[in-house]
Amino acid sequence: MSEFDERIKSFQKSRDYVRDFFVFGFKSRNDFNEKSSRTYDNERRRLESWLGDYVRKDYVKKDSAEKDRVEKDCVKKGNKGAKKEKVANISLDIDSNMLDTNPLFKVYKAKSFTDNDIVLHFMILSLLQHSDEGEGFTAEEITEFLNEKYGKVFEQQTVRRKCNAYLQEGLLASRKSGNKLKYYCDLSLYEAIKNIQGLADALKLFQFTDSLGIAASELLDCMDEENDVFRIKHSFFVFTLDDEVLLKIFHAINNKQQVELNIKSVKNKTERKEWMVPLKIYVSSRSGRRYVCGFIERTKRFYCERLDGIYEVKELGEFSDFDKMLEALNRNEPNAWGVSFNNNGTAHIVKLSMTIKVEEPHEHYIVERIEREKRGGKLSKTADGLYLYEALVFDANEMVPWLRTFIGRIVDLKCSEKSIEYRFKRDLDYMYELYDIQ
Amino acid sequence: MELFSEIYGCYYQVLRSILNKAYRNGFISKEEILDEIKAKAFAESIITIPDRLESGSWGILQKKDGGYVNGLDGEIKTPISSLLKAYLKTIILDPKISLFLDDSEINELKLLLKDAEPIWSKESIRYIDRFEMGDSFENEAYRANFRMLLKACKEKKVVKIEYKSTKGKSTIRSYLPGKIEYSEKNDRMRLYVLNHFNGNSKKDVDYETLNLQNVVSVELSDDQVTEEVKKIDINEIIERSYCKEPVRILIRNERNAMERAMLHFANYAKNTTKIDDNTYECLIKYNKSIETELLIEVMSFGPLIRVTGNECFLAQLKERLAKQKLLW
Repeated sequence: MSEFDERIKSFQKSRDYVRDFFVFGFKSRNDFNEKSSRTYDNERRRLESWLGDYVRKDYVKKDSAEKDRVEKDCVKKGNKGAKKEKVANISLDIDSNMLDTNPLFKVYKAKSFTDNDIVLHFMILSLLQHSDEGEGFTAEEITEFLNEKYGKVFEQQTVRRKCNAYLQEGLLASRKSGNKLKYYCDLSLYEAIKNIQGLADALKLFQFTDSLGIAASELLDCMDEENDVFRIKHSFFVFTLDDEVLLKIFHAINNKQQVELNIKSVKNKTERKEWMVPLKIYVSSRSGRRYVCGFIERTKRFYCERLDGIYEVKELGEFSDFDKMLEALNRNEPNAWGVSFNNNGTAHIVKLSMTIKVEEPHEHYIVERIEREKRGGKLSKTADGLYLYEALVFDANEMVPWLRTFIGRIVDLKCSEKSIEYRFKRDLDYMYELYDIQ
Repeated sequence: MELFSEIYGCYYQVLRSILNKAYRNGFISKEEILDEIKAKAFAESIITIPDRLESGSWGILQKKDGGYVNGLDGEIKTPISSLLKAYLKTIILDPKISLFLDDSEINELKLLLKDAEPIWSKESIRYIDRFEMGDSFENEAYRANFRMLLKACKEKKVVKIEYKSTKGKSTIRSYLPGKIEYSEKNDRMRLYVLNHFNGNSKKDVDYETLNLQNVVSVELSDDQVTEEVKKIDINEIIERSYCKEPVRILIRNERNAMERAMLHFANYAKNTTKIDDNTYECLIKYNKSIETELLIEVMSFGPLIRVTGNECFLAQLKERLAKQKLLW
């Protein structure tokens, strides 16, 4: 049996586990029926090691499935089994606006490495950052130096491979000297950003914003800075786990590429592949969800795919009509309330209108709220204390949760898609029944 | 390069910190090493990192007098990768950067980053439900107020703030700024300020929030605060302000409601348990000042969420439903 290690090789595997614990926050061993018990135990132990301060344990009664599992386990082991009637549920108890950083960045900071990796890292950087030799060093010279100074014997090939990897990542630079390649470390950017104090403060804020906050966190680590000023409201920390995918999609958008997406449904865990020309990232600041919005050539439609369901992005080549499709998307966006471009499989536009009652002047904040949230809809005053909101959208189903926030004020609701009206009314009736409203 | 990189991982950062401390002081004790690990790494690193140092398998630190000395030639700096350069290039194009940097600093950075390409452009992101009318980050007066408040937060200095309320009333008061909060949804900044900080008891201290957009002017005050006040943890005050009873909701897992609700309420401290195969109970902690916001968030789920407590929250929901029944 391999020894437990809090570091990880695969980000994807831990991404799934952390998300399940974080989002659902009530998982017991039995809820992870996709994996073996040992995998569950290791992942849970890792989670506790990374995020110990935020892990909450509750002991709840075992359900029948958990009892069956324990019994089978005991039969296998030949013992009578534990008599405990309760099982530990672990969850992540995180109130985002009380924290100075996103604790889930720790998942990114847990990548495994070999002893050689870390030793070479510090020895090479020490030589290149502190030598008076301005020209830099060849791989051969570095190898010799490590042997002489530290008594560490490395293959020249190993040192060259490490230097080339760092070169590719931009950590080192190189110059030709005759027919030899010399490596050096340019710290001018590092020194500059250390000296611009405002930049560290900016990074403290940007680590919380919606895209690639982990990059800001890594820069703060490099600068030995920690956030002591900023807080975030309406932030959804879990979505940082999708930033690797987001990075690949941004790359594809910048290069006008068509991509193959490997998708695992968040709802039912089924897997599928989709070819898409990614055009934009859509962000919901209310739910934190992020989507890639793109053109699907197969169906000739725009479609949004959730980033948290995507686990692989493969570029397929440049899409010649990228600019044309982007223009078409821009033309369609005013009628997209959220992320849907069709209604029941059709692409026709639906008209929705809602009349609400406002006690003026002291409830004028409701009018201001609609002005802020109307997303291209039109608001007009029709009589004293009555306002009409009208919108033309592809999919009025997406509006329903927002419309419900006006419960208590709705005087009338009309929709050219009659099923919306029906569903809204039916749900209201159900709520009256639920809360015993006479 | 990927974001998931060992170079920017906890172990490399901790070891760099240990090495630099050992270099600066000529020695590092085992206790100091443990402190560094506790502050920067994971819980179990407290076993793995000292083990590696003790066994000599990393061979960078040499044992001496019950501690270690650094065998390297100086302090180590982590260079900035191409990916992080590209990230810097991206954020210096964001309007919020002008809150922190003046034009000459932005130009200096642009020059240093001339070979990097931004990772995304503003046009590549659409915020589908962000409120209109966010803060005027590029407004000169807003920037000046922001910078003064940022300085006061960091240095724990009392400030005099002229503030215009949403109803248009102007006031000038002294506050001790605590934190600056950014809301993605509103694209706005708010300031957490402490009140009653000059009293005899820490228990008297409470907080309020001010919209930065409504701050007319800020100036540093001559008022001094005690060291004890400077150490006040604003989280304690926020927690103290939570309602005694959390909101208690039952979620029926239909139309994917469970997942939607868990994401929707992910920014609240909460605890969820399974009641039966299709129902979950979720307790959400909240502060009275955001009660209405939470109420409309709960209402947006319609009948898929049933509020069972607390009494006050439930009563407000019922009142809205009763009003609705009379209207339509």
